[in-house]
Amino acid sequence: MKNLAEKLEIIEKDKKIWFDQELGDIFYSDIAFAIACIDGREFAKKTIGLGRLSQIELAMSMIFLDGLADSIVLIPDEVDVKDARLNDIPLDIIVEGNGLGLSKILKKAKPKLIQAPKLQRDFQTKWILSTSGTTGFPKKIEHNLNSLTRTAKNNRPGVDLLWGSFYNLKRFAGLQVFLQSWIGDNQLILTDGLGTAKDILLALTQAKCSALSATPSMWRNISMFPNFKNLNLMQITLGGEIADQPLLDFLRREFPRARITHIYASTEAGVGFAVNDGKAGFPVEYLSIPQKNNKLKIGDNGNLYILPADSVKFNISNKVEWIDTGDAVCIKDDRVIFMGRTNGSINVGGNKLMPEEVESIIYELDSIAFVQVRARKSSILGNVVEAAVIPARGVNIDTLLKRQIIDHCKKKMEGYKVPAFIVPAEEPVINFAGKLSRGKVNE
Amino acid sequence: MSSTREAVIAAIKETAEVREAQLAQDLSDQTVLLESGIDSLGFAILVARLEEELGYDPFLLMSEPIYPRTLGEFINIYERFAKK
Repeated sequence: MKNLAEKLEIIEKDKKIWFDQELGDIFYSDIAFAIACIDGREFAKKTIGLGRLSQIELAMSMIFLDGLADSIVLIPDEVDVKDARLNDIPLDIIVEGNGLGLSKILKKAKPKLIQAPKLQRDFQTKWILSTSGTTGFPKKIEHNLNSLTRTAKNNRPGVDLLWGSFYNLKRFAGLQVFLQSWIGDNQLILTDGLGTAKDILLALTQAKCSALSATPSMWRNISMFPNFKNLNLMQITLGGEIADQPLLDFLRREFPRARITHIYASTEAGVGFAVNDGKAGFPVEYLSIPQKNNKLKIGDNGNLYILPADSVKFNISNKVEWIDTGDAVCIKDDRVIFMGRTNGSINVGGNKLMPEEVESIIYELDSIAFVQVRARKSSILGNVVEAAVIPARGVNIDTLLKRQIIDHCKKKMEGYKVPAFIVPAEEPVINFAGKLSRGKVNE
Repeated sequence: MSSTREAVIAAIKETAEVREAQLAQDLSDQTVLLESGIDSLGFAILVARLEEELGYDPFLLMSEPIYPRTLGEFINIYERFAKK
């Protein structure tokens, strides 16, 4: 596929492709019509930042700009577009709010076709995504349509899937669902602006979603709502966290007709591989047989390494090299099993954070002499955040201090980063490099 | 009221207080857990607190995972594994 809009030239125009909560059914013809109304000349070969937009405006913008723009930069919604962090990618145009006006055209009862000049979409547009959970600034990762859609295809001929996801379309996982549905000709339910997982679940059951993608923690979460039983799923996709065997078994029992896929992917490497056999981890054979043109190996440090297909470029150099995923793995019988992150980053239900980030906030309090932030294992979310503290002289670890720490953190960071537990710290261990020892991943 | 039930209700109230969550007025066995005022992160914290208090996490002990929908189901799970 040369670009996303190409499909509009060849597909049956009266085929439904999206369901939007506000606008209802959206057909290919609707999208083609709206795109034909907008003059793309000002966007040609430019770097376009996509800021806060409704999901439908975002989706249509991506289709409009792919092949036209030099780069599409997906700016995470939590980032202020004027933030200095984005200065390392100079943005020519920022699209936010009402965006290009594409969804506004869809909202009109009888829209008037304003035939804009027809443009060639023959540029290989770069797609710039941000990683999450790194200390300080998010890292920019460059992709193109090939690297993003390597795994997207209609995997189940004859099975018409209606996709939904709990991800924002700008996150790598959400983008994958969007592209999978677009390329695979499967309908997508856009659940923008609905807020809670409960509301999204209700919208998905009402729309008769048959394929759903979410993190393992989100799957556990939605299974606790009565409406979960009303889902009728043929495809279940998990990603973003370790998919453990009990959860896979649970989903198998709840949805015996569904194919269950857990995907290993990162914003850096793209989609690494997919596992469909219902077992946690992945087969050892994947270490010798490239998966989706990616090669896998276990490094000397016990981490999983990926050598991606050569269509992916990196922001440091154009050389393709082995990427250390930072995930510790081990081989057990004929499976490679994931043990956790080696760099100390904590994954709370798919949301990643670095301990140092939380520590630096807590250190702003005069009442704290020392703090170490670490993961506490959770059977529900994978991990929650724990802060081990040594208070300043004359201060006790009591309810008042704990409340002070939590209130201070709440003002400065997202909810999942706020320590769930505050405990007394043991004497800090400093290793030979003079760094705080955070212990091994299995301990 | 069993001691397990008491411990669970107390932990729910404590977690809600720490999270500054507004708990539903009448907590009954039919109350849907994730509609009681506690969100999924609060629920994870609740389970971890109960592990500290009671010494076990039933979600780790169960061979076939069950994710409880109501408060009654949740307490029942803890009572079941308390006997083991």
